[in-house]
Amino acid sequence: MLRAVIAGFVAILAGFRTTFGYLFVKKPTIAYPSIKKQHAPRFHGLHELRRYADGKERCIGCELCQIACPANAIVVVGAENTPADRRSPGERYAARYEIDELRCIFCGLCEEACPTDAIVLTPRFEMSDYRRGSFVYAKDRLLVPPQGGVGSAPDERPNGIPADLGAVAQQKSTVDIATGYDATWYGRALKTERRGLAG
Amino acid sequence: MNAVPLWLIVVIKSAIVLFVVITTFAYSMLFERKVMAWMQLRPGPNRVGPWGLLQPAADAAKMLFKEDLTPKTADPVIYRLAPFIALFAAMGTFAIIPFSESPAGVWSVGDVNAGILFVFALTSIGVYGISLAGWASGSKFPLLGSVRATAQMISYELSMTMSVVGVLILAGTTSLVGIVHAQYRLWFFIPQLVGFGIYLITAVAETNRAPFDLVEAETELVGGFHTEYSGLRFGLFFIAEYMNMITVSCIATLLFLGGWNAPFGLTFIPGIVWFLIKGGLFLFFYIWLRATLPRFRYDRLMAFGWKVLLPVATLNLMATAAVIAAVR
Amino acid sequence: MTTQPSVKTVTVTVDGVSLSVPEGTLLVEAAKQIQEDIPVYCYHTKLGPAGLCRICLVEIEKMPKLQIACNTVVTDGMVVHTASDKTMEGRRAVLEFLLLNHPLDCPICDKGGECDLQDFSMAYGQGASRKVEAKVAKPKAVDLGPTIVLDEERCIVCQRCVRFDDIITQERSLVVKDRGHRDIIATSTEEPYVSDFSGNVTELCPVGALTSKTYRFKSRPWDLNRTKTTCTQCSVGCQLYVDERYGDVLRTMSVAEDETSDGWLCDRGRYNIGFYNDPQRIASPLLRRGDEWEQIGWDDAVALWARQIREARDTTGPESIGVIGGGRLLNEEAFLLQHLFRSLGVENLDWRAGRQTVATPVFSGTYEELEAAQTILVFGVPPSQTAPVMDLRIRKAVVQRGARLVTVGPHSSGSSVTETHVRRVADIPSDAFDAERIAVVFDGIDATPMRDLHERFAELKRAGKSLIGFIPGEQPNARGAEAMGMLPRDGGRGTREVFSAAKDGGIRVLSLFGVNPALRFADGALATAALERTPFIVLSELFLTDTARFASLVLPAHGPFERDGHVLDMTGRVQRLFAAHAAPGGALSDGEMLVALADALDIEIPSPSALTARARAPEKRAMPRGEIRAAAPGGEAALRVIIRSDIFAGGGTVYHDERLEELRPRPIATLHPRTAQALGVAAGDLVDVIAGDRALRGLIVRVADAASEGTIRVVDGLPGAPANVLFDGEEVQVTKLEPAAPLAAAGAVAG
Ligand code: SF4
Ligand code: SF4
Ligand code: SF4
Ligand code: SF4
Ligand code: FES
Repeated sequence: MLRAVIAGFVAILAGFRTTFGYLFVKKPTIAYPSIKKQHAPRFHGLHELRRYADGKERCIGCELCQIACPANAIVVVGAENTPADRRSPGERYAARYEIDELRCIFCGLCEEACPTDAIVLTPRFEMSDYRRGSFVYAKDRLLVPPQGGVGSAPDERPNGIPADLGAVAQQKSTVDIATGYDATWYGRALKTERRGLAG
Repeated sequence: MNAVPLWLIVVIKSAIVLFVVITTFAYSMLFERKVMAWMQLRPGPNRVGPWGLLQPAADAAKMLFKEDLTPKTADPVIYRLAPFIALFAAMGTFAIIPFSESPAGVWSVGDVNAGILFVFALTSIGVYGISLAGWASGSKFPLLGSVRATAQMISYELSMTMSVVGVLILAGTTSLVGIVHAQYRLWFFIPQLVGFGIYLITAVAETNRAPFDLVEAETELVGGFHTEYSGLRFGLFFIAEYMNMITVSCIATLLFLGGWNAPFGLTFIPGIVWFLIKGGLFLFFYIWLRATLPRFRYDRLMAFGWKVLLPVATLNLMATAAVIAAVR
Repeated sequence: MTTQPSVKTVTVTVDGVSLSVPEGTLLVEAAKQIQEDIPVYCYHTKLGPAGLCRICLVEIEKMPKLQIACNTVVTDGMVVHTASDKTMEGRRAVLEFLLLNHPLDCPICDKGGECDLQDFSMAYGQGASRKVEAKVAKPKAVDLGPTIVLDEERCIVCQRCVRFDDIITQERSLVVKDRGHRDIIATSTEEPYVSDFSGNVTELCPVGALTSKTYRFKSRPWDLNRTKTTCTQCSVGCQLYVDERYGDVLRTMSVAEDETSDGWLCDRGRYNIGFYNDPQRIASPLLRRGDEWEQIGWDDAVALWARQIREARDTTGPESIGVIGGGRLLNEEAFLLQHLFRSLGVENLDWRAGRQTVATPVFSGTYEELEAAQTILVFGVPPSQTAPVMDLRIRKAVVQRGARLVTVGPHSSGSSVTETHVRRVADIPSDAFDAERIAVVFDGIDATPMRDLHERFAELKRAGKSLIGFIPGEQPNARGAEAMGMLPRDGGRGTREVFSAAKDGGIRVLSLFGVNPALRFADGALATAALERTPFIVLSELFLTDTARFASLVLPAHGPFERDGHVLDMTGRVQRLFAAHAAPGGALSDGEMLVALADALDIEIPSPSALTARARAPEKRAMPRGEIRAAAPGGEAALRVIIRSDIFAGGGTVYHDERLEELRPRPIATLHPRTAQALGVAAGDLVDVIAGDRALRGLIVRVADAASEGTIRVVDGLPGAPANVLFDGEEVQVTKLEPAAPLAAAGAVAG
């Protein structure tokens, strides 16, 4: 009984020591949004529908991404190109292409499934908004605008930074591409733990 | 000096105390948020002003401009009145708390010779604010919160009073100034170590702070007694809570830590500074406690109050009385 | 395949399982007994073996090479391995050949997901191609006809389409052109591929070479919600699958094992699905305010309807109330309809709203019996345009079973099978009646030949012969309506008498359910006059048809695939309908309208289960025999009008289906070359056809050898050119309109 009481006291005191100790530990917080973290090379963020160099849409409306999607986040409805209104090189294009980014789990299976490398996941992740409906991204927001080039495939951006995000992201990198998430406190903890396991 | 009427002196003194206390409240809040954040490996508020120093002002502005809602099912009069009761009780105690002493007199609004009783009387009124608020809100969670507040108050006030009575026996007076004077040589926390421990615990419970914050327990009761409150009225509760914290810190300093008496003969530092340092330590302890310990389960809280604290406080009181009787 | 005692059975071992099958069974069929699916492309149960694709290779012991299962007849003691290594190797090699020049555009191919080439490549293919040369390019997206797109590159030349066109429809327009890797599918005449059954080839095609225009790139098979229901575009009652996605009916597919349709669908049933979400579809009850329609709520609409009915009954009596409809309703609804109005004392109930006057034949038969008939007598309008899938049975009976087809009346069969065509009943070759099994197909319009042959039929029946009758009518559920009692009884008046009375102001309230008498009733002038004089007409419809012009209140109803219930097909079989598409919010089914009306009129109605029981078990009672038409006036040398049917005619669902634009018949008058010459008109001219004070205006002349001399053929049921202003067989004059030049081209196309 007494032992238990004493043990309880000791445990409480240990708790006090821990919290007190943390007062003087360097905080791992990154001052987002003024400082942005650099992503892992294949970070899965907001989608983008790419174009070919001649400006035509890559997407052929085949719906393979739709059936591959484990979250049922994609809706594709195909339509036929006409000589007067040619959207994609082949016969078919996506008349309707929508991704519900709230449903999406950013697994990248759509990217895997696409036969034309049309849908890709960019490292962009800032898409907060006030209404649920605004998270259903249709072609107007997914497709690279005509003046915006062709979009980039994941293997074309080794550091995972699209050009327009780069400036901010490089201010301070909390991740070292070579060694992983070392710069964060959590990363260090993980590493220590791993070292402990290995040793 | 005789030209100045007494009432004017009291008004001026009250104004000074109020200003100081309100500022203290504001910054103790910021202090709490910062310390909590650091203990949880966060930077804490750092956006408003340098190091977040203007955060209290921002909070105040927010409180003032938020819409003040009264639920349909609430009892409108009592609902609106409750925060003022809580705040009144919390502020009233400052009228008699002596902060320091100088040759000209005691630094307080008014020195009452039964000061400690006055303090207990007022803090007991404070719980009415909470109980009435919960009851008048007209919804379930606040009601549960207020019932808890009442039960908790009754359970822990008993032990608290008993721990204080030990001090009174030692000091032989109920005047706060007298008690401080009695500690000129020996601060009472040494002879009254058990009493001091009990006071610490019950003070936390009395002020409904973690780990005894069952009254607002957001994981179970949403917001407890203040679930329905918003805007300024919520702000008043908020102020009252911190005022209470400051009050019990001051009382602890006065009763157990020798008030403004300097330790180790360091008398070149003015008494008011010692008072503030001692009070600040208590505040820090409060915050530290909150960052460290999880909330009690309700039945354990009750069991602890009645089955542990009360017997120990009673024994302590009896022992003190016996020793004093024997010595005399 | 069942074993019949008279047929010798043989024993064959397939994959170690010993099977007894009748002699002459094909190996591929025998293997189905043990669920051993041998892959096939060119073989099809209804088309037979062709031996073209070689995918069905199996290993047979004691045979040196792999054999094709589809064209190998089992023999006694045969031992077959369908999954041996050698077989697999054979299939792999065949697939490699098939895929040599295959474009592999599965992502944009409408067949992708249900393609046999994909499936078998997954099962037996080698995965990677060894070919490094460029593939042979062939035309893609070839416009084969109004309904079909062909991708020559995807074709594996299994010739199922060609054989369907040859064996099943007998139309023989599709052929394989060129040989080797250059072979393509085309029509023999280079003309567009036009057929009333064209959609079936898209289903037969094992790959994505032949695809429907209406479904092109619309969806993927895995996205579709499939419902099995009954087609109610005509009275055959084919089962079909309805595939829907995002609230749009995208395609229909036949049900291979269906006994009613034999696994085929006609193009009307298959393709007339684009009207469900047409913007012109009525979305809420419409009340006439002068020349305008005002949208009103259902409560108001039903209250108004009930008030009019009650007032009419209380002032001028139930004789002043008429109800026409039932041929487009469900059995449940038809029963409810007659029950409701009979409860009010109304006996003026009739389903007949067009030219058809009878729906129930005296001796019913099944489609299988029709197929087995030795002589098939067709009277009047040929079933090829009123019940197309039934016509395929007739073609099958004639071509595959050697039946004799005799068509009687002004129309010939309209299909390319051998027939004996006579004009009058008296000319029917007497040996036609010698057969043991005789089937009579009668259009249900003019019962004169039936009266004339009544004695003859009775005689045949007495002689113990099998005599069966079919009435492929205009309305899908006419037989159901008759069976449910939507016929005048006890002194009630039929449609014609109701119209005659209405013309003289004798009808105050007329309720019409899914009928369009202004366009379809045999006596158009009478119908129009009657509708004009009737003060309050309620019409339940999908669209504002020609009849809606006269209506005071139009109620939006449910379309064919939006209904749940039962109908009777023309053979009297009960068919089940399941809703496959959600009706627009403002519409109610006819049944729901009637329930609301019954509520408003305080009439007790049967419970839903009682209603269903009624609908499933129609009562048997003697049916009227149909109208006898007086012979149309006119001399021997007169020019007579013949009104013909067309599956794509009509003012409702077809007219409002934009996907069928190309298929809708143009207002054409068909003349024999000599008749045209005598009248002084040429193909492409615009003419008016005039009879007394009535005229059918603005027809485009077409000249065809197949037309009979001294007749002018016009199409019934065209909004804008309502042929019902004329009487069938009536003497007419033709006047030519000037100038007709700009329309000449249109006439040529329409030809
Ligand atoms: S990333 Fe994954 S969940 Fe998101 S749309 Fe693509 S397939 Fe669906
Ligand atoms: S994004 Fe790719 S997979 Fe998705 S529909 Fe377009 S082409 Fe097909
Ligand atoms: S026919 Fe079959 S294999 Fe060929 S492209 Fe279409 S889906 Fe693919
Ligand atoms: S078009 Fe289709 S059905 Fe016709 S031959 Fe080619 S693959 Fe066979
Ligand atoms: S299925 Fe046997 S050869 Fe084509």
